[in-house]
Amino acid sequence: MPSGEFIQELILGLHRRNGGELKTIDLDLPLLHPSLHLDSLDLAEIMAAVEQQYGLSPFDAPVPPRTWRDIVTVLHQK
Amino acid sequence: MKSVGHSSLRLLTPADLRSIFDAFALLETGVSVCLLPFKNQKPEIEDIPLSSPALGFYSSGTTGTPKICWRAWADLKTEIRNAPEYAKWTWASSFVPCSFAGVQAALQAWAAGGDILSLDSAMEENWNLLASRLIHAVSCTPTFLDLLLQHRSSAHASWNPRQITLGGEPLRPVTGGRFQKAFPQTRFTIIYASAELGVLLKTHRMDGWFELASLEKRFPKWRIDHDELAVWTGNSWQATRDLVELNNDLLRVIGRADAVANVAGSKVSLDEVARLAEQVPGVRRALAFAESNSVSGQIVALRFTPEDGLGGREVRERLEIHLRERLRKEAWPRRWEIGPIHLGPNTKRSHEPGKPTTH
Repeated sequence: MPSGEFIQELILGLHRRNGGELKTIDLDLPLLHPSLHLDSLDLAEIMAAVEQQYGLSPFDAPVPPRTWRDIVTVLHQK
Repeated sequence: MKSVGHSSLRLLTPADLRSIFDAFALLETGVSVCLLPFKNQKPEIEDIPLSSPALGFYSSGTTGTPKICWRAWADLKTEIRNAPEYAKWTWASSFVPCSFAGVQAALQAWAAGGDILSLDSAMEENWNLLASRLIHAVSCTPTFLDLLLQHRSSAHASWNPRQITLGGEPLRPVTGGRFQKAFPQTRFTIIYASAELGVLLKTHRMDGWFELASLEKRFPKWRIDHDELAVWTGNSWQATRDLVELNNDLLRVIGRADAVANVAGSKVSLDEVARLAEQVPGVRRALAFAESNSVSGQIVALRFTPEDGLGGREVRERLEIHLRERLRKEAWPRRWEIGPIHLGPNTKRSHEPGKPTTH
C-alpha cells in the first residue's frame, strides 16, 4: 500500500474512533489540527504503526514533521 | 561440591529440584550452602548471616538485579507445613532449583519425607510424568498451570492432584475459576512471597485476594506507600516493590512496582492493563509491556492469546472497548500482538521464550 493511503487509513481509523465523521483526510493539515479529532496519544499510536510498517520514525528526521504530508514524504523517501 | 573461603560453606549447582535435598542434608549438619545456577561460578560471598547455617540462592528479588540472598535454615523450616496428610507425597514443580520458590517446594517435599520432580516447558511430557508417577502435589506459577491445562488430553483427565500451590505471579480471578473447574477436588494454596522476606501472604481464595490477617500474622506492622506494600522487619521498613490494593480486610497484589510504562510522563501499571484484559471473554492470557515511542516516550503494547477456536480480530475489538471504558487514555494499548504468551525465567509470563518481559 502506498504510504499516503496507509497514513490516510490510520488517521481515519482513529478519527472515527474519536467520534469524527470525515470521509477523507487533507494531508496538508497540521498533525493535531482540531478537525482531525486526534490528540498526542493518538499520534503516538499512529507512529507506532508507522514504525512497525516502515522500520523508521518520521520524528527522527532532522526536521520534525509538521503536517501529515511531511510524514508521507519521509516514508516515500525510504 | 567444594568448599570456598568460609570453613563451613559449600557451593552446590543443583541439576533439578531433588538435588536440593543434598543441600538440606548439609544444612542439618550445620553447614551453610549456596545454590548456584551454573557450575564454576565464583560468587562474591560476604554477607552470610551470623545465625548459620544458612541457605543462599539467587534472587532478582526486590531490586530487580540478580544477587545472592541468604535465609537462615531455621527460618526457612518454619515456613513448611507439617501436616500428616503431606507425608511422603511426591511433588512436581516448574520452579528452577536456585530460586526461592524452587527451594520452598523442594523443602516441603523433603521435610515430609517425600520426593520432588522438576517440570519443564515440554507440556506433553509433563502430563505423562504427572499421570504416570501419580504426582500428589504441584507447585508452579498460574501461567505455567494454565499452559499445562491447555495441553490436557482425555488420557490425562483422571489425574487429580491433592494439592496445587501457586506463586510467583498474581492470580487473576478468571484464571483461578478455570483451575477450580479443571480440578474440582484439589486443594489450592496461593502464596505471595519474596526471597528476602519469605512468605508474606497465603490463602485458599481463588479470586486474587488475600486475607489481611495472613499478612499480619507474619508482619504485624505494614504500610502502603504510593500503592506499594512495605513491611516492618523488626529494625527497618522493607519495601516489597509490589503494588497492592486494599479492600476492607482483603489485600490484592496488582503487580510489580517497576512494571510500569511511562506514557507522555504518566505512569501506567502494566500488570493492571493485563489483568483487565483477561476479564474479557475470549482472552486466554494477556501480557502488557512498554515500547519506546518517538512521540510519547513509551506506549503500552498488549499481546494476547485468544481462547481456542476464537478469531483474534473479534476478540481484539471486544478488548479495545473493554479497556477504553476502564482505563485512562495513557494506559490504552496502542499496539497489539496476537500470539502465545511464553514462559520466561522461573516460568513467569513473558512475550519472548526464556526471557523476562522488559519494561
